[in-house]
Amino acid sequence: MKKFLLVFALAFVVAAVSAAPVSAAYPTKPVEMTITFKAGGAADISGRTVAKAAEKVFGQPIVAVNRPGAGGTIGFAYVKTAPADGYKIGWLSASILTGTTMGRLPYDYRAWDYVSRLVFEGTAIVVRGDSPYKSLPDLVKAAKSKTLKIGSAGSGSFTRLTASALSQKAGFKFRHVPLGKRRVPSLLGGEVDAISVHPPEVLALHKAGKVRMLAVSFPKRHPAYPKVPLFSEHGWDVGFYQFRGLHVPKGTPKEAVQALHKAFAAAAKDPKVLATAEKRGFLVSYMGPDKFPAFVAEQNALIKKIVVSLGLDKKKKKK
Amino acid sequence: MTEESKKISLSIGRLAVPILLVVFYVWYGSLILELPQGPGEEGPLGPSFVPWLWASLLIVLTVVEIATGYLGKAQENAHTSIERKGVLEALILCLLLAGFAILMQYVGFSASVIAFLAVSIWWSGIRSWKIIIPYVVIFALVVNYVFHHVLKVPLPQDWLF
Amino acid sequence: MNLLVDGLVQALAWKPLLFAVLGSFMGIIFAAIPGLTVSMGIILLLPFTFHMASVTSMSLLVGVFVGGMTGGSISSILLNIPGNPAAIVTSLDGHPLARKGRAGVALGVAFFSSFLGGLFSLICLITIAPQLAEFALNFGAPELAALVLLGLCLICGFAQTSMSKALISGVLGLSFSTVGMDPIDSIPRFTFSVVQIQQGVSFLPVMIGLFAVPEIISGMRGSAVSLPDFSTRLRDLLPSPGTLAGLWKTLAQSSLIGTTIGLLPGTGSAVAAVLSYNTAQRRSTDPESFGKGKLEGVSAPEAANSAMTGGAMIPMLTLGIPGDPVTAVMLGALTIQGLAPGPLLFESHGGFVFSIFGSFFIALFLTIVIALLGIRLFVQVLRVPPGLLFPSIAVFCVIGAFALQNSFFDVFLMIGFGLLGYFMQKFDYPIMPLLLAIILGPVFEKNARMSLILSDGDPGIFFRKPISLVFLALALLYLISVFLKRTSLFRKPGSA
Repeated sequence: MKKFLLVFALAFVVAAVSAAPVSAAYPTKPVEMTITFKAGGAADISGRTVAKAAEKVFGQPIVAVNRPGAGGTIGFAYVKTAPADGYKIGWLSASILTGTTMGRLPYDYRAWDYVSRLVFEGTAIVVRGDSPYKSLPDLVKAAKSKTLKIGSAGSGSFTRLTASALSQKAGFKFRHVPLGKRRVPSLLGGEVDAISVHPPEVLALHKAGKVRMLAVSFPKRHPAYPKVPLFSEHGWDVGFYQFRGLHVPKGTPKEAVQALHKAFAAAAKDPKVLATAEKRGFLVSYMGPDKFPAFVAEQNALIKKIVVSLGLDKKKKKK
Repeated sequence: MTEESKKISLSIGRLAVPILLVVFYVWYGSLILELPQGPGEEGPLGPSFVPWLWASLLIVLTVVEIATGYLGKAQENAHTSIERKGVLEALILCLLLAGFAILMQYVGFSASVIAFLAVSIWWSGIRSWKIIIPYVVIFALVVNYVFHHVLKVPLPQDWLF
Repeated sequence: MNLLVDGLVQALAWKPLLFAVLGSFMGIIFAAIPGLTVSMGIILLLPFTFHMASVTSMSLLVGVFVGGMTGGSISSILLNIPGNPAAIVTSLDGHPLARKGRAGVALGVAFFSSFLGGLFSLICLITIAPQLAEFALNFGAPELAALVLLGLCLICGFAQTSMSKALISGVLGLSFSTVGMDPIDSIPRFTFSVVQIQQGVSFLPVMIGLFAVPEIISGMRGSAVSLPDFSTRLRDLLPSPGTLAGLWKTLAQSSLIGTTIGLLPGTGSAVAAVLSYNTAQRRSTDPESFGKGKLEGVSAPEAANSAMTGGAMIPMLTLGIPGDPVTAVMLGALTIQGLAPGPLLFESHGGFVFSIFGSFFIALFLTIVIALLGIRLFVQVLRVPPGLLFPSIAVFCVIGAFALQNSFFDVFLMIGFGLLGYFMQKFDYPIMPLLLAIILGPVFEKNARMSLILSDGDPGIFFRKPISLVFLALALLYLISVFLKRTSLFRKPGSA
């Protein structure tokens, strides 16, 4: 009896039949969009808002699904291995480039097809409200005479790369502190001199005067914080920005990519998306499948350069 | 079981877990060796420091455990051997659960719930199909409705519902 | 005061009230069903709030949060399977009580303790939130590392037959916690080049596996001990006012611990529950009876985990810093409404903030009403034939492990740890230290290493900061007291 059950349980494991339906006209069923970060985070909010708006033109539901973990790599890997039928799409961010250049994913950025870029997000250098540094040049000047502690979301995070790129352009050295989730409390508690962070996380504190955004790395000044100057205004443009957009598994049919492009291009003009962008401090900037792959390649080159200069690419190589 | 064989099984039981722990320690240690040693990129403690700390603690504790196991302190009423029946049951349940999770990816949620529940209820000793079939079908329908249709959990969907 | 009344009135409008009822109810259900957790409930409900008015959406989420912290005790007490990480220690004394036929009393005490703990933290939230938020900023990396170290030392408190077994279980958990991305240098550790392992051992699937799977195994094959019959009349189920009055000391200290832990980002409800259980045990006149069905052992963790809710909302509302995963989701819900929590929220949207307080208050009341009304229903679970009950729980465990991150990897993680938990129990290795270590290990490693980065490698940083020094001293004192007690036990005649 026992043996029979064991065999039965084993058979139960083995019993696996697959049957993938082949579709004629795209889209005939809901599309699943993987968001590589947690529910309620910046990527989740922009992704869900855009997907909701795109549904109107797309004609089928676009279901947002969070697959968070390990700085986005879990979700990116999921999209990479999903069937290339146009029904599994991903909401990507520039983290895909940091993840691949640093060797966290065993392939490079060309492992996916890129559909469109939807938004830009800034990266700001922020100090406490009572800090002696009133502007970015103040901070840079001080950093040249003593080693400041500057925090970021983590060792290979986008915020860290931005801070490091700034230090290379402006010519100073700093002690990097990978603060992770405690980045804002750590700044407020006085453990670090400054942090590199996405503006929405500190916008409310900035308005209350508890912290001061010195400058932001962004293509243009944002209406939510119009007085904060850009890196480029000080002559220290780092050239790469946190962007978010849409990607699909390699080899997804052209018709599917075009249908997605049409829907998301319309979403980029949706008043609801624009309103959320203003409140959340991101910038809607659409780029379609004709130019986006080249843009990704260009950003990748810039990010790779900084990653290599920091020696972050070698880490995984040991194995 | 005679008094003699009981004692033997006791001493094997006392040793089995510590031996497993030592095997785990050696494996864990060999994996730590593959990591970069010494100070890290960011700070004075590198990625292998804390794993080494835990590994050393583990080996110290294992030695203590082996020692107390032989000195026989507080071990007299401890379970040091387990029945084969229990092990078999645990393995079967875990296989069933794994089978359920794998099957779900191929045949979808409701079909796999029906299969899993029917088999495991039968296995737990309820042999009347008049109870099993209605319970299983209603359960699968309700749970599928709540989780997939109301709460939008992206469970794999199937040809049933 | 006027603002408070206005807030209550806003939260009592029919729509927020309806969603508060729905939220509290769902919170209780999600927490009570083994395998499903509050975190999962909040994540699933978040997308719905995107289309709601701000007051309504907060009513729903606060309801789930408060209801969830209360409901977790139900399955802990009745089935010995914690419904939430917050309720892992509730089963230690709650389930023995149920076995003695006092399930109703245990549930009643748990519900009232949750209610009072939640009320305490709400009062803190209303009256001294900004000051508490400032206070919490004193907890930097060295302070958190020391606090977590203290928490890890408490593992000794879970020793049953042998101290070395409890410690081995804890250290095993600590070594599992090093799997995945290194928290400082972001180097993948022990991942065998599998991308999924980079996220590490996430503790919710591990908790579901460790605690639920062994109970399912023994439950399904009928080896579970049958419970004595008991009356289900509400009068017999409720704890007497005298019983509750006798718990006031436990309730007060646990509420304080819970609120404080809630303030500190990255610690979480399980830590609050464990710390307050341990404190109650140490300060009790009869510490030996803990773990055998003592009401203080139910009351302490339940008051603390509910008090954690208000505590966690303080840094979230005043500074925009979430104190735990649930408030992180709430923060997202608020920002999508265009309300950025921070120092100015109280000034610019004061009315709205007080409507959150109002919802919180209402959620507390609704939860205890629903829970008490439901108590007769909950205990009926014990009458469901185990052959139907446990396979159904197994299905929920699989759904629960999957739905947290939509990952089948987590399901297999749950099954693997379930098997481990089963064998550990069979060989008398307690599983609580393992889970606690998996929760605390990464927090300790991260903050300890971060402290040394901040101090340029000087370990003196742990001793110069007064708060961290106090925690380290407490940890040392605790270890010494445990050691002295154990050695005196060994010296007892006849024990060797």
